[in-house]
Amino acid sequence: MKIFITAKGTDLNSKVDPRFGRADYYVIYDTETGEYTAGENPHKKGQMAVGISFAQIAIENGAKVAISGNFGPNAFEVLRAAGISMFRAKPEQSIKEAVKSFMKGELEEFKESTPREVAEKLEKELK
Amino acid sequence: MKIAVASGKGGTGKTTFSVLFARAIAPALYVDADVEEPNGGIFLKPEIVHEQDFAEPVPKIIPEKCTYCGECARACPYKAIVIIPPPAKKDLFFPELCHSCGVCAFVCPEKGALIEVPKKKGVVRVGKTQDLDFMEGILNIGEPSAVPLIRELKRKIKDYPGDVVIDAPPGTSCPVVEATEDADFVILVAEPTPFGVHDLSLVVEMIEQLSLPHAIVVNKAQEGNFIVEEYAEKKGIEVLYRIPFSEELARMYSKGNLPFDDFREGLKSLYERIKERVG
Repeated sequence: MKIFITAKGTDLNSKVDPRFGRADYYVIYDTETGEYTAGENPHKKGQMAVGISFAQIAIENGAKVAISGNFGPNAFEVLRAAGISMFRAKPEQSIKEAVKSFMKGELEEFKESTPREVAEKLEKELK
Repeated sequence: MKIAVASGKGGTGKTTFSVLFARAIAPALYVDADVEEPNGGIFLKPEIVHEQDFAEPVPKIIPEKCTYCGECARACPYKAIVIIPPPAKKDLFFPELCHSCGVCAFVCPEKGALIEVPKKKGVVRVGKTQDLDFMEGILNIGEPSAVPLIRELKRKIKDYPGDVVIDAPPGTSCPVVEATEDADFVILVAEPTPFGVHDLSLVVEMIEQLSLPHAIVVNKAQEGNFIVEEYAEKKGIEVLYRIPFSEELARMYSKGNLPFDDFREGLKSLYERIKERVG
């Protein structure tokens, strides 16, 4: 099974990026082989529809699970329609730690998207 | 003659000036093209005689005919459509991102799989107050672009036989260009602050690109403050009028009233000056 994780860097020791649409990078981890691929988020600086566009990378790569800190309303809708379950990484977790937590069933599943106020506050803090 | 009123900066008194001016030169038509927040009607208090929906086409996917190939989603420049390929076979549409450009319907390879249906995006209201005709566009909240509704207003006023005052949106972006580009003359309302002059210079740049004759009106003018005039002289732009700063006017404004009679004569002669310049 492939897990799509928003990342601050391109290896398993990088921290999870707490933003979905405007994350710096993504890592796709395959739980069967233990292998992973990574890439830069090409939509990071886009003006609109960044969450929608970024979610499609997860879909195109056949991910079944997405891990991030937050999911905006549009990204949430797209991922849910594609049957991808969304989970919240714990604060400051690395990709490796987040995957381990997920496998142990320790991560909270998103039942709804992150409210806009929370997302805006996060964006300010990261700046 | 079509006279557009623009400002660059918001809150300089575009609408205050526009309604005072339209009232003064009536019989005429006042058009509120600041469709995201039209407020000229608050002061003119027209009797609305006609209201018409403004709609534009948006895509609708017919699941029985769609093959979920994703051509429409890939072509959409605004990412308003998401197609989730088989086996999930789902389509998502984000109306707040759609600009009604029609490219989705154009590229769809399956006949009848993606049709365009009208979606209401706002209204156009037409009315009258004494000898002044009134028109305003009201865009629905959340619509991405004001331009199509402004274009619709312009279609409607094209054959108006008398003078038209177009109250343009603030800023210098597409809606302002749309509201001003066909005008015979543009009045730029500016306030005498460094910020005001800065934003005035931006809209002057825009008007110069459009090659439209223009002049400045100073609002909230204060004794001894000529910051706008100094800029205007440097640029060779005529300053037509000064509306003095007045607490009394602000107080009236806050209640939806304006001292129309006080400005009638002054603004009538301003109109004559514009007529001279347009020729």
